[in-house]
Amino acid sequence: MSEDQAGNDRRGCRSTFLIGAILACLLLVTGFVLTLFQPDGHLPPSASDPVVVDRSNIFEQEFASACSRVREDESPWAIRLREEDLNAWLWVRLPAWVAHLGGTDAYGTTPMFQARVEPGRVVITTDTVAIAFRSELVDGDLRIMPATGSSMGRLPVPSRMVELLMGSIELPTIGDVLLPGGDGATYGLEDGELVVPARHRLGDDRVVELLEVQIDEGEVVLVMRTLPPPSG
Amino acid sequence: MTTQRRRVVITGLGPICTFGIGIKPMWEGMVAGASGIRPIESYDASAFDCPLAAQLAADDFDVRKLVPKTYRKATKVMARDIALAVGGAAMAVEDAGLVTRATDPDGEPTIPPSRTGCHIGAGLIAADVNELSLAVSTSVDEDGEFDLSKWGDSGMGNLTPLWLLKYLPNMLACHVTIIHDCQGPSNTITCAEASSGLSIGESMRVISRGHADVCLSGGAECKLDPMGVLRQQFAGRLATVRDGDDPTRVVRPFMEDAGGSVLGEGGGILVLEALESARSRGVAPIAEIAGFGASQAACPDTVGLVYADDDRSVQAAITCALASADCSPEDIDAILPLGSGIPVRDAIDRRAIQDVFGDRASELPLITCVPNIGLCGAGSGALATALAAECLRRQMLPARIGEEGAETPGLDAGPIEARSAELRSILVFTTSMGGQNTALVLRRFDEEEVDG
Amino acid sequence: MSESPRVVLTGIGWVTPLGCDIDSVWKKLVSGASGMAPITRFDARTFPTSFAAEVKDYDVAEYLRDPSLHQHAGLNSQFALGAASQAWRRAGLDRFEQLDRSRVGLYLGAGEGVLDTENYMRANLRGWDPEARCIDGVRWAENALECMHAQKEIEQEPNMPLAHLAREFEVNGPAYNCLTACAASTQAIGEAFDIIRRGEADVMISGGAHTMIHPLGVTGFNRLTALSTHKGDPAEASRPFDRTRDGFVMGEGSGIVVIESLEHAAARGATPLAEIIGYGSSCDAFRITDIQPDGRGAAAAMEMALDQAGIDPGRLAENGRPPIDYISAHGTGTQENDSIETRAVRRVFGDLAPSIPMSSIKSMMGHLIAAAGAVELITCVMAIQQGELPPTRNLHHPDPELDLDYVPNESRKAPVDTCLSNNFGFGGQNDTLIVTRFKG
Repeated sequence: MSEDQAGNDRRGCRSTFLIGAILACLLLVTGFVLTLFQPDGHLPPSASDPVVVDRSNIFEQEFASACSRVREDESPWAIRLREEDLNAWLWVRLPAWVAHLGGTDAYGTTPMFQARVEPGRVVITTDTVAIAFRSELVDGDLRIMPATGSSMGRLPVPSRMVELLMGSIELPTIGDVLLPGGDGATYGLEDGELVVPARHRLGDDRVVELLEVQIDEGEVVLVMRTLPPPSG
Repeated sequence: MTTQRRRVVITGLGPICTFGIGIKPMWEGMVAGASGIRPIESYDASAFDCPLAAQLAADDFDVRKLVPKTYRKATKVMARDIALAVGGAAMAVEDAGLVTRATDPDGEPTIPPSRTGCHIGAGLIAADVNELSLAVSTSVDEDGEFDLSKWGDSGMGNLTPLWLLKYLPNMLACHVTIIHDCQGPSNTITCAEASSGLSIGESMRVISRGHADVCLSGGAECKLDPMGVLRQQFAGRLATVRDGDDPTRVVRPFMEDAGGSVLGEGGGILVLEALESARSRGVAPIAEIAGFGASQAACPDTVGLVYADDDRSVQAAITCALASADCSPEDIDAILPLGSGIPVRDAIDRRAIQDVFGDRASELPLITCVPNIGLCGAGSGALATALAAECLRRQMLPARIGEEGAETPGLDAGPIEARSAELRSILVFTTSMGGQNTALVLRRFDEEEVDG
Repeated sequence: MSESPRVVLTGIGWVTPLGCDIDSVWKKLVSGASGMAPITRFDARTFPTSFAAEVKDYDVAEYLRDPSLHQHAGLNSQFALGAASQAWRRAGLDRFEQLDRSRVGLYLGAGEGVLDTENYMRANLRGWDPEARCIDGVRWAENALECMHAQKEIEQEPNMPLAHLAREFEVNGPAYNCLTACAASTQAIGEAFDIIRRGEADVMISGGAHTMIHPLGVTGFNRLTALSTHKGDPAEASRPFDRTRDGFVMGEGSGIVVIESLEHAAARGATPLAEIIGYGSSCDAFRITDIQPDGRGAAAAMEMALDQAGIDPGRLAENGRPPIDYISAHGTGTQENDSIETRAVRRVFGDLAPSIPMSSIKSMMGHLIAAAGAVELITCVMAIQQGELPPTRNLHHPDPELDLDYVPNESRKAPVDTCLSNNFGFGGQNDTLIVTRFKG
C-alpha cells in the first residue's frame, strides 16, 4: 500500500510536475507568442498618407503658434492634443525633427511610435512593446513615470520592469523639438522617471510654463501660462 | 479664368489743355490752328532758355468747380497735376454719361464701384517752390545756407502735415478714385510721355481680363514750375527762345529748322469701357481702342534722351499695336506721333513712320498738337488719344500750324488747314524720355460691322 | 477659349538693409536680425525720427558688365541694378544666348530718385524774396542753373531705373513703371504676371527699388506722423502688431524677380523657384489719408487673387490644411494699418484666419516703400524653399484687437506650399500676390 501510495505519490508528483511543466511551457510559449504579436491597438497611421502629413503639420503649427503667441497677461491658457494629431506628429514630424537635429543615423530605423490616450495614462506603442505612462507635476518639473498597462507584444509587463527599461531608452527632447530656440531645459532620467522641466524659455526670453496635464479618453489637455521675460 | 479678349471702346473724353477743359474747346482750338503758347505767367521765367509754355487761363480752370461741394476742401492738397486729372475725370465722366458718387451721391452708379478701375499716368511732381521756400527760409545758418539741424528741430513744422500727399504721383488716381468711387484696380504709371499710353494699355488689360468693366484712364502733368522747367532744360529738350520770336511758331515738329519743344500743362482722362457694357447701357462708343503695343529702347546714353540710330523699338511697339488690332499698315489713315519738335525725338518718330509705312509714309497725314498745346509730359498720350478719337468721331483732321511753306521732308506734317477726311483707323504713338514707347490703334466704331 | 500660360519665378535678387544677397539676408531674417540704426546719409539728429534701415556696404559696380554705363545712376537705380543682376543670373539668363530680347519686358514699381537737397535748398533760399513772400523767378533760375547738376536731376525721374535695367540687360519688350506708394512693386509684379499670361512677353523683369532716406523724404513722413519716433534702441522701433506700435521705420533697397511663362522656362531648362497663381488689385476710394476702416479694400484685393488662384478662403484645403500656409503681411507697424489688415484677413479667411501664420519682415528691415512688396514676395519664395517662416520681431505686447498668429519674435519651421503677400499704399491701392511651390 505504502509502495503503492509512494508510487502513486511519485506518479502524482510527476504528473503534477509534468502538468506544471507543460503549463509553464504553454505559458512561456503563449507568452513568447504574445510578445510576437503587436501590442493591442497598435495601428499606426501611414506616414505617407497626405492627410496624416497635413494633420501633423497643422498640429505642429497650432502648437507652436499657441506657445509663441503674445498674451495679454499671465492667466492660464489651455491646448488640447488629440490622439490622432499626436500620432500624426509622431509619425511624420518627429522623424523629420530628429533628422533635422542631426540624429539621422541613430534614428535611421526609428521605431514608429504610436500613442494611445486613455484616462490617466498615455500608452506609447511600437510594433513590439507598449509602455504606459502617467505624469505628475512636482516642484516645477513634469515627471513622466511608468503606469500599469505596459506589455511586450501582448504580454503584460509589470511597471517595475519598465522603470528598469527606461534607463536604456532615450526619448527625443520633444520640448526642444517643438519649441526650437529654447534652452536651459535639461531632461533627465531619475529613479526610472523622465524629468522634463515644466518651464520652457522662448527665443525672445518669454517663458511658457506648464501648469497642469489632464489625460482623458483620446486627448491630453495641457494648461499653461506665458510669463514675460525675466526682468533685466 | 480665361475668356475671349473683350473689346474696349472709348465712351468719354476729358482732355484739359491750354484751350480749356473738355473736348469741345480743345477741338475748336485745334481746328482753328490756334496755339496757347505764351510767356509763363506764374513767375518770371525769363532766365530760362524757354520762358514760354502753353498754360490754362485761370478763368478757364478752377478745380473747385469740378468737384462735389463736399470735396472742395481737399482741393487744397492738390498739386496742379492732381487738379488737372481731377478736372479731366469730371469731364470724361460727364461726356460718358456715367452716374458716379460725384455726379449723384444718392443715385445708383451706372457701373458698380468695384467694377470701375482707374489708371492715370503721372510725372515727377515738384514741390510748390513758394510753399517750400517759405518753410525753409527760417532754417538757415549764419552764411545763409540751409541748416538741416534747424530744419529737423523746428523748420519742418512749417509744412502742413499733408505736405507729402500733394506730391506723391499716385495722388492723381487717389483723388479721382475717391471722387468717383472707383474701387476696382487702380494704378499710376510714371514713364514720362509714355505714361498715358501705358495707362490706357493697362486699362485695356484689366478690362480684358475681367477685373473691371470701365476704367478712367489717361494722365496729366504740369511741369511749368521752376523745377520742372529746369529739369527739361537740363535734358536739352526745350527750344531756346529769343526776343521777338513768335511763341506760336517756336515748336516746329519735323521741320528742318526745329529747335526744341515748349512745355504745356494738361492731360486727359478717358472713359474706357468694355464694348458689351457700353452696349448694355445704350451708348454709342466714340471710338474703339483696337490695338496696343509697348516697348523699351536701350539707349546709348542710358537715360533715354536719345535712341540709338539702329533702334527699332518704336517700330516694334507700332507693329505690335497693328497686330493686336488685327490690321496692317495699309489700314491706317492718319498718324499722331509725339511730334515734340525736339530734333532727336522727331528723328525717332520719322524713322519709325518710314520703317513701318514705307512708301506711304510721305502720304499719310500726321496730326501734330505740341505746337498748339505744348509738350504735356505724362498727359501727352491722353491728349493725343482724345484728339484722335475726336477726329474719328467727326471724320475730320485738325489744322497743323507752322510758318507758311515750311518743309517736312518725307512726311505730310507741314502747315495745313483743318479738313474733312475719311478716317477708319488712327495710329497714336508716343516715345518718352527714358525710352518707353507706346502705340495705340484707334478705330472708328462701326456698329453694323459688329452686328454683321 | 485658350488656356493662359502658367507663370513661374526663375530669378530673385535683392539689395536690402540686411544685406545684398539672397542667402545671407534670409539667414538674418529667420534669426530675427534688425537693420535699423541711426541715419548716416545726412545729419538727422534733430529730426523727430533720426534712425532708419539703410543699405550698408553696397557697391553697384560689383554687379555690372560696364559700370561706366551707369555712372550717374541714382541710388534707386543702383539698388535696382544690383538686385536685377542677381535675379538675372539666378534665372540663368546671362548664360542663355538664344534669348529673344524683344520678348523680355520690364515692369517696375520704382520710386523717384533722391533729391539733391543741398543745391535744391540753396536755389530756394537764394531765390527767396522775403518781402514778396515768394521766389524771384530770375534769381531762382540763375542760382539753380549754376549749382544744380543736369544728370542728377534727370536721374530723379521715376522711369530711370527702367532705363538703366533696359541698358544693362539690353531688353526691348513692353516697359512700365508704376508708383503706387507702398504697393508699387507688388502691383508691378502682378501686372507683369498678367502681361505674360496675355502673351505680350515671355519674360518680365519686375519688382521695385526705392529710397526716401533723404531730408525731405523723412520730413514728409514725419509730418504725416507715419514714422516711428521711438526713443531708445532703433532695433526695437518697428513693432508691427504690437500694442505699442507707433509707426514704420524707413528702409531702402530693391527686390527684383525674373518671371516667365512656364513654357519658356521649360524650353531653356530653367528651374522654377515658385509659381505665381493669383493677383488681385483694388482701390479703397475712401480718403487720402486713411484706409477703409473695415478692411474692405484690402479684402477685395485678397479675394480677387484667391479667386484667380482657385483657392476658397473659407474652407480647409483638400489636404486639411488652411487654404494658405503663410501670409506676408504689409504690417507697417502703424496703428491703423495693422488693425485694418488684421480685420481684412479675418474678413477673407473667417474662422480659419488665426490658423494662418502671418508675419511682417518690416519689423527687421524697415519699410522699403515702393520696393517693399517685391522683397516680401521673395521672402515668400524663400519660405517655400526653406520651409521656415520669418518672425515678426519686437512683438511683446498683445493688442486685444489683433488676434492672429503673427509668428512673434522667433522663426518657425513649417511646411510651406502657398503664400499670400499683401501690400497697401498711401492713396488706397491694395495689392495681393499668391505664389505656390512649383509642381511640374
